[in-house]
Amino acid sequence: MLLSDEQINSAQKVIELSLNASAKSLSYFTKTAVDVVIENKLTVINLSNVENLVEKEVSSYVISTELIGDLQGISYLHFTQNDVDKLMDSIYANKEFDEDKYVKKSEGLVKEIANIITAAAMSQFANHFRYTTYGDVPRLEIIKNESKSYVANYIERHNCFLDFRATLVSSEMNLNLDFVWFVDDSFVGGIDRLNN
Amino acid sequence: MSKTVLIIDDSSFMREFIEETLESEGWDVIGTAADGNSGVELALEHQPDLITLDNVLPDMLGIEIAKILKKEEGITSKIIMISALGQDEMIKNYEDYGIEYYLVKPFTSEELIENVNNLF
Repeated sequence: MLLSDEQINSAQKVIELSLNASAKSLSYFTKTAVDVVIENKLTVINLSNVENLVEKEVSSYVISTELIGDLQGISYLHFTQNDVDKLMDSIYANKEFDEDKYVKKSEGLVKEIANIITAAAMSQFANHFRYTTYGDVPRLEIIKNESKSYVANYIERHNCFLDFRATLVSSEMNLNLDFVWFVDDSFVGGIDRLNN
Repeated sequence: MSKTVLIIDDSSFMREFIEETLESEGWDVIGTAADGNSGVELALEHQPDLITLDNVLPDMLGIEIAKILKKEEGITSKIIMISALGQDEMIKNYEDYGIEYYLVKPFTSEELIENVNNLF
């Protein structure tokens, strides 16, 4: 599907606003300023090559959230172990956990962060597009190089041909979270509602 | 006597955060639930003064739970919907489901306490 310049301009403005809302939410957890570095404001992707679009790094956490309702798609946040450790320090300063408890707490924390910052962007999209949209319960996946990821499978199955992505950066904490979205033509429908 | 609260949230992080915050203010946490069905059972059994209710749970939506508890079962517990979704349309309509307040995440412990105190 080709998008007009008007559709692309409108989409990029809403994407920027939405990702800024996510950054603001993340700053509650980091207790620092969080900037949005937008790497890709909107691209039509080649679905035959989708595996290469989903970043793969062993021992990193990928939290994906499926969008439910009027807007269909999937988003994911990519946390390295360094990101997780920094966030744990920020939230649980001065608390000590044994290894099992630390892993359990880390997973609970990153899932909740993903839930909140994804919903912050989703709420902006919903308000602008006059849509009702939910995010499903976040799903944690430790990506393995040898297997096709859950996200890649979802993108193919649901024909999510639009991609936008950014990095949420706290320079003070040396935190860099990749935040990636794949959406289907319901996103274009939302842009058209916005323009009409 | 302490006021009682039930926490319904699928996030272990949020259950712990709300529990610690309200206990520090003297609330008696009578239970926590990670899904809607367990939450409804606990709410009907204990009829707490307050229910903090997540909106997206693995088995049902928080607004459905509120409707069951307040509209169908007629319990008098006050409900604070706690959700990461801040859509205008949802916030505008929360009272229709018997929800007393809609609190959008993220928030600080002070903000939670202030909003809870406003209900009592």
